[in-house]
Amino acid sequence: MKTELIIVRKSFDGKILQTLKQPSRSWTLGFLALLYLQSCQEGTGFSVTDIAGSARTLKGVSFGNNGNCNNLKVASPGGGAHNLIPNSNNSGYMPYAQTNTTTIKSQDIGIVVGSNNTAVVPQDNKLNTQIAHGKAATQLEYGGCSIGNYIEASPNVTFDIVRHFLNHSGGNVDVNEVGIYASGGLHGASMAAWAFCIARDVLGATVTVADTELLQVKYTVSTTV
Amino acid sequence: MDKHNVNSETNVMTLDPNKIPHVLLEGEMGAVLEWKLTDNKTGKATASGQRRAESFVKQFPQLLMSLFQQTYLVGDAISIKDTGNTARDVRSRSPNFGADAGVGAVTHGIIVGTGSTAPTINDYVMETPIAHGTGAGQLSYGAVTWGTPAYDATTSQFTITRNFANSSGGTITINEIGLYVTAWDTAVKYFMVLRDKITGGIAVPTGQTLTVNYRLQGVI
Repeated sequence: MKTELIIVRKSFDGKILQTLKQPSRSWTLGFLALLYLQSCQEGTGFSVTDIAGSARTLKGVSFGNNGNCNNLKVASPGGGAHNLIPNSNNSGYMPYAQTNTTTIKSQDIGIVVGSNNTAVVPQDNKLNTQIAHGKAATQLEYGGCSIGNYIEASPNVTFDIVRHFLNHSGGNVDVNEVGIYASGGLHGASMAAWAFCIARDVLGATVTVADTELLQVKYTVSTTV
Repeated sequence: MDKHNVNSETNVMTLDPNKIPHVLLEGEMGAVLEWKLTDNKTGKATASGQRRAESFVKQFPQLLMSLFQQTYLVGDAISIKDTGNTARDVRSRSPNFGADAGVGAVTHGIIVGTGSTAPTINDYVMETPIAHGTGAGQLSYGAVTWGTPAYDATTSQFTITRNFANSSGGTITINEIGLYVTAWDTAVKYFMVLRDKITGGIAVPTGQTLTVNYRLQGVI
């Protein structure tokens, strides 16, 4: 499986100002760890470091087949919204019979951008310096993160992960790193979920997003036999 | 040498689940396939091999999309073909991507077969899976086990392992190795995500056990 990273900078009226394409090199330890939880249906708990640097004990199975630990959720709303991470009860049907819900900020799930260009290592548990959601200086407004554009063209299958970022900060914002954050959970009686870094890439060149400009970040994931 | 071309057998007589082989390309998320034959009487390894797993089939990205989206409702579900050739509306539940097969289970986990047709992206089932048992042409499937996530300077991985013991009384040649996983559509269903053709086959004599590792890796 290979992944291409495509960055497009646009003017406020949609004109393309810059396009940067590069191979994404950086599925990190967090991705393999969250996939491991699902693969082995971890029921006792396995420790993974979240984006805050805290070791979190996660599971891959919750209430047998009725539950869901929500591992690897990448789709996210935008703006100041939160991701609602539902839990089910033992006899329930997701998501209707959820007993409670935890939340993760939209800027902590999905594609994220940052300003630091320190080289990637497998154990990166976050972007080095994430650009926060907002309109203040050095901030960008996060749009929703979507997964789609599934295409089959034998022997290839591709799909996209896409997010837009809008600069209303009043000044330039430099982007040097991008990544993907995903959820991981410990559900059941001890309902909880946190965010984890599953990919991080340093850009080949700084992308400077001027005030009012739009930045589109797209990961195209491809599988070939 | 271009790592992409490294797919020939090499001597890896010890299938340490924590060892991190380097046969994938930079930036790739994939798998390394390893196998070892062990004589059941002496406990000694008699043959082994290693190569990159080349054939993630389309159910893998489809299940990955399902995990990334965490779709709960029927209308949001992703349609994925199961190993019975039935399209399933996969929704987010605990079992998705599970390979936790127990002893004798041939529904999921690492599966071996005798089919020798080259894989395609559309494959949804092994060509000729070998049944569990001790009869002619059968192998005794062990429980699937895991090596926990680990990393080195360039590579992250976890390892899926399964043993196949031959007590059939004759030699069985493995020509295909694959990985089946579970996912949810009103009940647990089974999906093939990997199928590798083994050129030349792996001959498993009676009285020997084949150990197979799939090391899922991400390389920076």
